[in-house]
Amino acid sequence: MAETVHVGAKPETTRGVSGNPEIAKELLDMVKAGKEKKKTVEVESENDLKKLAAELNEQKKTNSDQERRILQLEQQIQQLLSGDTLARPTVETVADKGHEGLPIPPDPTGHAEAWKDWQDSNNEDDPDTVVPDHGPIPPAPPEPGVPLPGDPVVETDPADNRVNEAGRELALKTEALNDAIKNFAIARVSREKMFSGGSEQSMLERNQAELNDSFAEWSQGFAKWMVESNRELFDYRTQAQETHNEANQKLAALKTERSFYLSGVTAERVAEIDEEIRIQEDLIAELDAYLITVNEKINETQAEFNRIKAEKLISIRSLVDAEMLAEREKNHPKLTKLTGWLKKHPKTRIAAGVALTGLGFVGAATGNAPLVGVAIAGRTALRGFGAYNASRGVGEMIGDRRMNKTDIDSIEDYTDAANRQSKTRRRSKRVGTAVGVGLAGAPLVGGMLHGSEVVTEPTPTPAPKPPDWLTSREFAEMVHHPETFKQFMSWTDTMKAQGFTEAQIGEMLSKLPPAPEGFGS
Amino acid sequence: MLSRTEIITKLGIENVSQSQQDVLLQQLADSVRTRLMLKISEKLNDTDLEQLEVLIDAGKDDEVETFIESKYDDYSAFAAQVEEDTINELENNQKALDSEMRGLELSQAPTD
Repeated sequence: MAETVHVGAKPETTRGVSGNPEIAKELLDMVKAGKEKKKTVEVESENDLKKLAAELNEQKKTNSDQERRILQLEQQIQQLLSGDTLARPTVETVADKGHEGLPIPPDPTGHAEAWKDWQDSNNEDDPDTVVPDHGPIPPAPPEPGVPLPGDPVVETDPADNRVNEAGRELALKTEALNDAIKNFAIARVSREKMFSGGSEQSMLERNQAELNDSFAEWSQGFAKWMVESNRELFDYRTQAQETHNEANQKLAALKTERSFYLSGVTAERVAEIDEEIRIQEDLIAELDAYLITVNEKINETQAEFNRIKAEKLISIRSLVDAEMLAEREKNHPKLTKLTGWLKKHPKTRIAAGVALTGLGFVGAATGNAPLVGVAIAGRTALRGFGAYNASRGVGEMIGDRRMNKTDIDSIEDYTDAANRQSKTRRRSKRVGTAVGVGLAGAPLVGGMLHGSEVVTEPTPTPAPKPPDWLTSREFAEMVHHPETFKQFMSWTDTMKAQGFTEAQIGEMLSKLPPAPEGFGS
Repeated sequence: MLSRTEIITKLGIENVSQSQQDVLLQQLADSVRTRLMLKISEKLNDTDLEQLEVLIDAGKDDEVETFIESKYDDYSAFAAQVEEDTINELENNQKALDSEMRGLELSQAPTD
């Protein structure tokens, strides 16, 4: 029987191959060449293998660190569950190692280097600086957004920050809620098992409480996100309304001055008053238009919020049921047959709401569909949506209308009013510019255009002093003059009816030019 | 039985466009369906499921429905109740959210 030949076989096994020594030699050469080639490959790949080994070791170390951290967390969880919060962790922590054990964090921002340079330069300037024996303390992990000495000032928008922060919180809470729903579903279905006992019951109760807590947390997070997203718009409306009120009051005062003293003031003063009246009327018209736009935006935003709110609540409700149904299917395989049948028969009367079916809405979804909806609830839904953008749109819209107007100087008249705004919040440059251009004539924005970006704390309005006229002899005489006094009281009542306070009326009167022939003549 | 207007009001989406309302009502119908499927699954034991499997495999759709309905005194009333409970729960939750929002808005409102 002929011997089978295998490439790479030992030379002695080739001796009798067809009785031909040339073939045997050729085979031997092939084997030799194969070995040489193998050696070359081994040498070439040795370096790669070393690298690979090093990477594996590194990976092992990372895994080991992670395992240690997991162990540490598990121990802490156990301690928390057992109420032993004072127990010390047995795993060595970073804090136990001191500074030298601190891993140097990745520094994509280059802040660590900047800190070191800054520290070095300061040390050079200050010979008394003592460098500790253990060497320089590694730089603290740079916190995002914390400016360093010498860094260019980067304007961040507080409104955006608040909305983003609320969005991040909500995303975390949504994840926690999704986990809680899953855990609850498992516990709920486990409780249904024939031999389930006290431990399943207590687990179910614990998971139910966790689900309720998570939902409450989610609700708070969602509400916060909605409020933060909407806050700018409400602020703009409040400020515009306050400005509107002030402009109305000023206009009424000007008209009063004009009607009362028309006969007693110069033509030049009447022209001034008319000009001021025109400015106020323009401003009021501008604010009316602005308020309409802001209110439209608020309505649009609220409608969108309501839509999102309903969608999320429906998704959460569905997710709870879908998770439980999925769990039950795991425990009862034959159930899959039925659910599969129901999914294939969306128009069956069995799995359809009565009212909704009557309205033409037949549930066509599978049990798994809502899972997707909620899974993205914390992230996608929160991106790119916010009242801030809408409000900026308002500013830009009005900006287009106002760009050609030339009465910006009149803003100076209103900066005092800006400082008296009851609500003072820091406004970003972006907001200031966008809406500032739009509301060039508005007092609250005027303060930002002409001053810093920060609307300062409100200047306390000093209690008005009693005007001099009130204590004057003329006033005392007037009080004793029935007709004049009656006229005065009538005017005062009119002013009060228009919303002026006593102090404002007094202040208004104190600014009037003296009547040439006595008050009311 | 709830009307469309009542359902829309309970969901708090009166000011949402009609097309978006329709989308939400469809989602609600899906949700009610999922809940009904769960409730039905809880009502059936393994023997029931085996019987249903036979009916399904035989393509007897009407009998599948009749079998399930037979497990309830009044299936329509049961389904209507599940639907209404779901909608009421959503109403409560959306009101709770609104209340939470109002609280936050008030806490941020200027005091002067």
